[in-house]
Amino acid sequence: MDSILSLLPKIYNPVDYDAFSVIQTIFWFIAAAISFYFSFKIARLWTSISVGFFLIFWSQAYMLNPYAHSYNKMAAIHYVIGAIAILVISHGFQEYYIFTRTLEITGRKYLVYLTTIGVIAVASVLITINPKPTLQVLRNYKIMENSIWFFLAMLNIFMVWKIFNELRDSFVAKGVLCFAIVFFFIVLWKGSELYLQIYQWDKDWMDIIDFSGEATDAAKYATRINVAQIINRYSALMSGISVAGAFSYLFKLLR
Amino acid sequence: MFILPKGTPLAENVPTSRIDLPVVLGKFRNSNFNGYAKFGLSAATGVFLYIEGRLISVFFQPEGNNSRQDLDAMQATIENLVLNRDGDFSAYRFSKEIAFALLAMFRGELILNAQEMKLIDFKAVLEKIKAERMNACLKIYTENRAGLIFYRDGAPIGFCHDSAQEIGLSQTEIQKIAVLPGARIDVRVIKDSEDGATLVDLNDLVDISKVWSVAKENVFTTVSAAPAASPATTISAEPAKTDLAGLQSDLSNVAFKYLGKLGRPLLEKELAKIGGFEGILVPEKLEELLAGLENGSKLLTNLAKIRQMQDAMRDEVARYR
Repeated sequence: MDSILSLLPKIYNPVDYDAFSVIQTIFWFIAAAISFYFSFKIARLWTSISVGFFLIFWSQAYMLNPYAHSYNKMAAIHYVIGAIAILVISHGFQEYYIFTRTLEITGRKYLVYLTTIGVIAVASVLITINPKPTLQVLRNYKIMENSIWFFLAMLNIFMVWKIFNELRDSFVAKGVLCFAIVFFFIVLWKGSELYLQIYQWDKDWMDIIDFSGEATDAAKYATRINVAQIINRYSALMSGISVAGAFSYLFKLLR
Repeated sequence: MFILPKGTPLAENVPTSRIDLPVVLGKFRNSNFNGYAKFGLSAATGVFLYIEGRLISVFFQPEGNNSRQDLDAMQATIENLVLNRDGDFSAYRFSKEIAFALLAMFRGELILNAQEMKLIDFKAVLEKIKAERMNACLKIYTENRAGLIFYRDGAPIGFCHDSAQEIGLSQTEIQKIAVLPGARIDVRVIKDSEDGATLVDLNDLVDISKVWSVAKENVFTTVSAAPAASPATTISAEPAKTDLAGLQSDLSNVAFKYLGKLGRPLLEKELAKIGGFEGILVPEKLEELLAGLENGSKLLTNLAKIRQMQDAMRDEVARYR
């Protein structure tokens, strides 16, 4: 057994596991499983949305693997996958809204899968041919991901509301409205993390200044940092639970 | 041999027992229909020819007897329809040009009658049709085979023959018939002045609803072509239109019931895809419509409700037929 383990890549920076992250990832897994199953069984327009939620799980789960902090390029790729996830989800909701206004359904499921794989491949190539990301660069990737998530999630709440208004008297309307709750938690989750990052009160920044010796004002704002961290932890958990719940409810409605 | 070309089918081999003649003819009238409705009866065929929704000719061809035209033909068809409820009904849509050429076939002036092909200069006949820009129908036939060529303004616009009655653009098969032993030719021509707009609409001459109801009430009484209702009472011709609108309204309500407010526009969109509301009475078109509705409905409700909606729509259409 030891001889096999010695063949595996070296873990440079072990991952700290906390129960919260594990539980959260389990819920994302349930959401991903349902949404992926959903994308096979249901109308084409749900494919983008389902694939997007599956990618969230993928990027979350990656951060739990023992090598997550050891290979910076792979970590960067997964931050980009996280950003692609919300882009694909938003695209899906925009298509849904267009459907409610034009009643047109265009495109093919396989095109959604292929395009998503293609975009991820291009992003991976770009990251691979560039220098190895430092901790600062990785943090920048994270800020980029959180910014995209935060603003698109807010936009999606508006989009879901508009879709709901068009479908208000249809059977599926409440199921669609559930996604407004999902995006509400996502806004809190990503927004609180972005807040901490912008003011350099996030854990990654603290790790960086441990080496650089730079000063921080975190102690001065301990309460608000604490509140933001609590919001971040619970809203992340609630995002996973609400996605799993929304897809389960939608599945029940459309079955 | 009596052959009729087939266009886009609106109905095929529907039992005449299910046909309410005034309703069916009303639909054609209200939809600017170009084409014909054919009643295949036990020993005869009745054909109602429409151009832009106007009934411009009725043709009745009994087996082994001379054909009848227009009001006589309508009367004969109705009598036979009432007496023989085991016939079949078909309707085919054509372009206006072909429908006009069909008129030449039914009641065009016969300028060549059963001429043997080998005794005429066929090339000269074709040149004459072209030079005089005739609207004509050529029938080339033997005892066992027959083919038709339709001309509009001297140019051929369609060919059909007994083994493939769809109108096509190939004359090969008809050339084969023309060289068969004993092949003959009929040429019928419609005068230039008789374009679609100037032809009399037989609907205006006869109150078909009245003739139909009289015929049904007493099948052994010879019906006469009742004159059309006076303007004050033309409301009697309206039920067909009302029924068609009623069906559309019923289907729209079904779509609304199962899909909500998007149900109605979704139904209209799918109806447009199948070529309009008239097509819904053709079983294949109805299924095409329901399949299209299912695709859009998957984003609005569940499969069980979609099935219920489809069944409800089928019931509505069946009730209408």
